[in-house]
Amino acid sequence: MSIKSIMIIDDSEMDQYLAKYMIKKYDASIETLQTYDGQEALEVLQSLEKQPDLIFLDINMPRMNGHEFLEKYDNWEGRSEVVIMLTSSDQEQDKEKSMAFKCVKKYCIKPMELPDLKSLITDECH
Amino acid sequence: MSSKELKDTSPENDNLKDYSSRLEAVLNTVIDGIITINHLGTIHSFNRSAERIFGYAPDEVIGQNVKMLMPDPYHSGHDGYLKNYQNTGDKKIIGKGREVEAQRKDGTIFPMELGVNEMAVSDGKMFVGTIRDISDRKQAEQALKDSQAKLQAIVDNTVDGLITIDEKGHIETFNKACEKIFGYHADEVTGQNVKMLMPAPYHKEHDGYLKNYHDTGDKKIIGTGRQVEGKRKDGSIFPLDLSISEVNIKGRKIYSGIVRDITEVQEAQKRLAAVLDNTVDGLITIDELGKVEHYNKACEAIFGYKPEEVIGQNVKMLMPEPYHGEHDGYLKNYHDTGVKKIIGTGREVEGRRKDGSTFPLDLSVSGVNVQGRTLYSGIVRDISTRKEAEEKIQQANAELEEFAYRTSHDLRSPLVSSIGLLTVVSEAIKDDKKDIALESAAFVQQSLRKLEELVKDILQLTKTKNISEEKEPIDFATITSESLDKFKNMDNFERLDIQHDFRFTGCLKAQKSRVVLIVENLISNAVKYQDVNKNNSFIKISSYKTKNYIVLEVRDNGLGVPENQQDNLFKMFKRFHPKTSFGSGLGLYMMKKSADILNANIGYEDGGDGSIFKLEFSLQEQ
Repeated sequence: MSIKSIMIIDDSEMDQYLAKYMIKKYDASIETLQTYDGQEALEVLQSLEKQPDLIFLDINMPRMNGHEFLEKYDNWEGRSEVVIMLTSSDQEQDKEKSMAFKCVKKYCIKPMELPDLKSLITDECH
Repeated sequence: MSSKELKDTSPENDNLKDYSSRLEAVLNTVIDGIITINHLGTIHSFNRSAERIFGYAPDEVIGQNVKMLMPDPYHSGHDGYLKNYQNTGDKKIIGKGREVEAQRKDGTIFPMELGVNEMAVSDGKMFVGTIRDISDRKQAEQALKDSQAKLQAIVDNTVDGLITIDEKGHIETFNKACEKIFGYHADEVTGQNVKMLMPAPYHKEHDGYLKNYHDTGDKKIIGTGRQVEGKRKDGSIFPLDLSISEVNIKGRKIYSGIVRDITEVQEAQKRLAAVLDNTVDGLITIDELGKVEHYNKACEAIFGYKPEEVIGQNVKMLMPEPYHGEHDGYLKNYHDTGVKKIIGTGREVEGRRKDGSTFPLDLSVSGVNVQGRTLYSGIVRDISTRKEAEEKIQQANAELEEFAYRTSHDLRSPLVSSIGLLTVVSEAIKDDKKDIALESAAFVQQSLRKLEELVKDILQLTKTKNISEEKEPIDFATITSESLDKFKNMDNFERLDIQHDFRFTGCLKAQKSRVVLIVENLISNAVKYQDVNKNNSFIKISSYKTKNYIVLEVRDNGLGVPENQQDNLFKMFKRFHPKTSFGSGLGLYMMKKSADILNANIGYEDGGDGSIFKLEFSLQEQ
């Protein structure tokens, strides 16, 4: 399975920019969807015909943060199986809380470097 | 005379013989020694008792001078005494008795009672001496004296005073300690009525007491101890511990009193009571059943009850449930099992004041045995303020923890992004992609600017907490116009309709910098979070008075705060609008803290179509 689309959920324009840049550098054909908080992400995901293959999720966002998003999303039928946490928080409690959700596969700390992205995607392909 | 000659005599001669032997028999059976001497001192007769007393046989002494039985000085003086009497007829010892010293055959000297009588006989004068060995008597006398002396020494050296009086109240003995206690010498009081040592009212009543006891036998003070007052020679009155017993001596009744000056003891007691009364902590003493015996001044302040309301009552009146219902059980349980639950340790419990309010109480209890009774002594401390302080500290710590957590994230995030972006910049430069390089560089700038804002806000926050400031009169209009002036260069400021309505004209005194901070924050937020999709965006700033408050209100028709977030409004680092949220998220939090310092209330109301923020100052506080 190859990755065709990735959603980046992050309130920081810069982090969105960086993530998108990294993804495009890896494979320019991957479609990137950008949403700026949990609420917006849920709305967009609901409206999609096909769920993105991969979701990068930040924790600290206004209105609805990453964990609040997961609480809703984790129970959706037909949701994307693969959520990767992409956050600047290195706190154990954040990691534990995130990994407790079924759809969360990995916990990465920003910034994400190209090799990390590569291994991430290849892992997900198997 | 021979016996034959005697036989030849007349019947008178026979009687004489009998008489003589009878006399001799008598002489030899009397216990006292009898010695007869002539005018020169020559011993003529020496009876059996004299033999026994002196240890001589008659033939050793008869014909000798009687002075052989005397030690000096009598020995050398006796001839002189005899001669003197011969010449002067001056009876010195004759007819009288006298104590002298005599000397036995073995040389021992002993005390002797001597009686001398004169006898006229045919050939001159004879002296008859009656001798009694009084060694034993003397020893007994000495022993008595010794024992009396010992007794007297004891009486004199007791610390307590000892007085004895007769039935009428006259002082018979008054020991050294009494002299010290009352200041009188024994001579000054013996024979006087003991009431001289008493101040009123005892002074007048004492005779009555004695009479009453005499008549009724009703022991009032006898056998028991009592605290009375005494009066010293100098007139000063002092507290006295007195115990009296009755003594019958040879048919006479005397009263024996032990007196103790308890001035110092009383002083010490008063001092102790003063100390106990004035401790900061409350002191309560209860008996085994929970009845309050002692309740000091501090307790009054703590519980609100006066001592008379509490003493004699059960201590559970000072406790709310469940202690109230369970306390009797605790006491009984300890009494039965001896298992110490609270005794010896300290514990936090609840107390109940007179007004019904309950409060946290630090209680430590110890058990005390006093004269066979068990008492419990409790130290109570109202720890309401301590608890409040503890809570405040806990709250402050919690805030600090959250602050540290969030700051670390919010400070790091832009830094981390910047690092990532600079990598992009250098790659772009290498790849000769100028546009990307520039775009990325701009993002770095943005990121670091945000970082700077955050650091500034954090610094201001710490200042907010620490500055103490004088209150001064506040003019809302001036502060508002100064703020508006500050923000007039913000994006989209010019499209806003700014409305003023300052109706409050009274005087409000407060810390100006806090009010300024709040006003500036409210206005800048209103500008930032305006709804650019509306044509008639406005901000209305007004002041007015309600029944209980002076209110400053900032109202707008901007983006508002989502309903489900309204509770979180004033918490740290909260941002509510995606994309449009720029700011550290600390602004509202700082406003809340400032409002706390002003002792005012800051609140948010959903305006339906925007936000209403109100800063309320309580009228009572002004």
